[in-house]
Amino acid sequence: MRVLAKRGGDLVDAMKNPAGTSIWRIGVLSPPLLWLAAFFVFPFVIVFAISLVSATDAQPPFASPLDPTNLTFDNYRLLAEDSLYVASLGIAFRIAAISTFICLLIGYPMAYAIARAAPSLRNVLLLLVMLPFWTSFLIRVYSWMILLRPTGLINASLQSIGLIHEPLPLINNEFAVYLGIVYSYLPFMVLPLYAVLERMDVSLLEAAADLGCRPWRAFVSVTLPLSLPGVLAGSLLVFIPAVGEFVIPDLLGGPESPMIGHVLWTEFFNNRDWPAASAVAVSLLVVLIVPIVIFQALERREAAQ
Amino acid sequence: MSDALIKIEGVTKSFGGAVKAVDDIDLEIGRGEFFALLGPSGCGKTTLLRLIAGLEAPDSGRILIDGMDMSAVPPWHRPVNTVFQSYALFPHMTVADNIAFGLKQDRLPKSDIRDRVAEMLDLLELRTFANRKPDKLSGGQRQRVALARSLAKRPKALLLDEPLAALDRKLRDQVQIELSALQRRLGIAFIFVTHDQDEAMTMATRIALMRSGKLEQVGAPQEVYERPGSSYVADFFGRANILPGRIAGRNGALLRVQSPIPGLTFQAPHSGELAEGTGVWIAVRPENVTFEEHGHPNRANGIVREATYAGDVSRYEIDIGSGLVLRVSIPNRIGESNSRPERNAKVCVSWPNAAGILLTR
Repeated sequence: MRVLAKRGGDLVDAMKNPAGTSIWRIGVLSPPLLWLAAFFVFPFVIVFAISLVSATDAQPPFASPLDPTNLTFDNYRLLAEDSLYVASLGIAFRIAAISTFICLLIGYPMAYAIARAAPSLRNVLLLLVMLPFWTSFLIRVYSWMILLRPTGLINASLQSIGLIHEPLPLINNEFAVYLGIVYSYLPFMVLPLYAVLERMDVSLLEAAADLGCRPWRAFVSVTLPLSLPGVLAGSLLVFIPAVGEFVIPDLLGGPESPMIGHVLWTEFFNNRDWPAASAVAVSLLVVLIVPIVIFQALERREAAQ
Repeated sequence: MSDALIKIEGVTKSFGGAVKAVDDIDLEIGRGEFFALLGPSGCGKTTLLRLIAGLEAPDSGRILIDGMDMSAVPPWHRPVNTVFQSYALFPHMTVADNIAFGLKQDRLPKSDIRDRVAEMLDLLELRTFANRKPDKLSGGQRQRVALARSLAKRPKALLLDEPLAALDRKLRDQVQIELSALQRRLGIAFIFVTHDQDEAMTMATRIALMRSGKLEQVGAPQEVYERPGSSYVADFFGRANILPGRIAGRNGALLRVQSPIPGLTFQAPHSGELAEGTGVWIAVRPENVTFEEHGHPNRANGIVREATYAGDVSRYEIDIGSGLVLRVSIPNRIGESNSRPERNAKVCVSWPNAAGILLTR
């Protein structure tokens, strides 16, 4: 995040100080800006506009936002009044938070081990972490269905060796959702953690030992605080997409805990209520972005001190 | 040495492979010594320092600190502290917190920690920086924080790994003086690693010159400079002319040495018995050689190949034949520079018997 914040700062500086900007700098900066404008800002404006009108049976299924008389906050009022949305947002936050924490518990030791491995081994281990990306995400989630279902590989083999008599409830519940999210997002936790741990000067740990620190205390008072930027970056990279996750809860989850992403899907495709779905999307974005912006502002203020 | 603080007994350390970083070293370092571990890079000096600190474990041999065998003692229990070459200051802590770090590990009472930190801030003139983070400090200030952090623990010996390497040249001279003053004031042993013989000579009370994991010679600066035990030592400290030859006989306290140039013999004091014909070297410091007409018993004729003016001295290279080149340096005093030989001039160089150091290796 620090790096991202710094990049952002550079960008702001570049805009503030046109005298110092060369043609090269503009050339380098404009593709990402254009990309953001075309694929984020522009679609977001459309979604936001749709969220401000009411649904119709016409094609497209919403009133024209270009007519000012159509504009209304009814969709947002609906979100606040119908407990389904707030509840599913709460479920999404809970599942994402717990999944992020589990990713951290598994990912930290992994990243630490890779960062402390022999340099020749490090790249191999990193490659292994990223290897699942070579297969489509969807296929990997489907594979989990095959493994977890009552007649799947795990239950079948446990039954065949006589360890269990009834199939374990491994799928269509929250357990399967946690498993799917942790499995899918673990690399996003490991990579930023690895980046900070690998960069850390090992002589700091030697200095801690030299000053009377046992290894575990050195970890708590030196390694852990210095790796916090990585913990934060990894947690955000897991938490944010996990909150809006649709595929994993849809394929592996059960009906008792609908996540917000699933509600959005239902609203859009099953109910054909585009304005309500858009309002959900906009709300989700605001709920996720506001804390990040506050956090970055705090971090920048701390860096300035 | 009966009052040794640190005793190193037959310590060997290798990092896999056949090369021994430290090879069967015996060494004693006394209380209150300012001791230099000197040598070229890769000679094992830093490894030896890390062995004392406990950051490496010896393959064989043992290290005693204050009479206690350190073999089973981890670094966090050893009564020595290290100033790392990179200083290794904790970047997320202020200067005061860095200094307090080691004291907190010892679970000292809060008031004691506060007092000790204040004492160290004063000792190293860091009071105004107490609440800064290390990245807001200059190189010299960082080093003082590293010193304060280590000294706060009141170690029996302070270990310093290349303490001046990260400082710019101008600061180095000043820090040399400050470190020496600090060591005298505290009275504890300082053991420092350096590759710079000037640094070792200026600061240390005793120097151990290392070469390929072994001790080449240990002694006071004057001792290793004036009485080197080998041509390696003679060459490492300052400049030396090292002339090969063979023993030609004894002349009282002096041994006569036949040089490769027919008819040219030198003599140098030596008490040991060496058989005639033994191959030896005579080392002569350039500052002990003169161009004086009625000079000294050891003399040779030659031609000036190079003559350079270096301010305090003028340096000459004299070709005396058979591929032997003698370096001469003459101090430049006002009014004496007229009689200096030019390049390509024929000269006679000479030096007193006492200036010749007879070396057998």
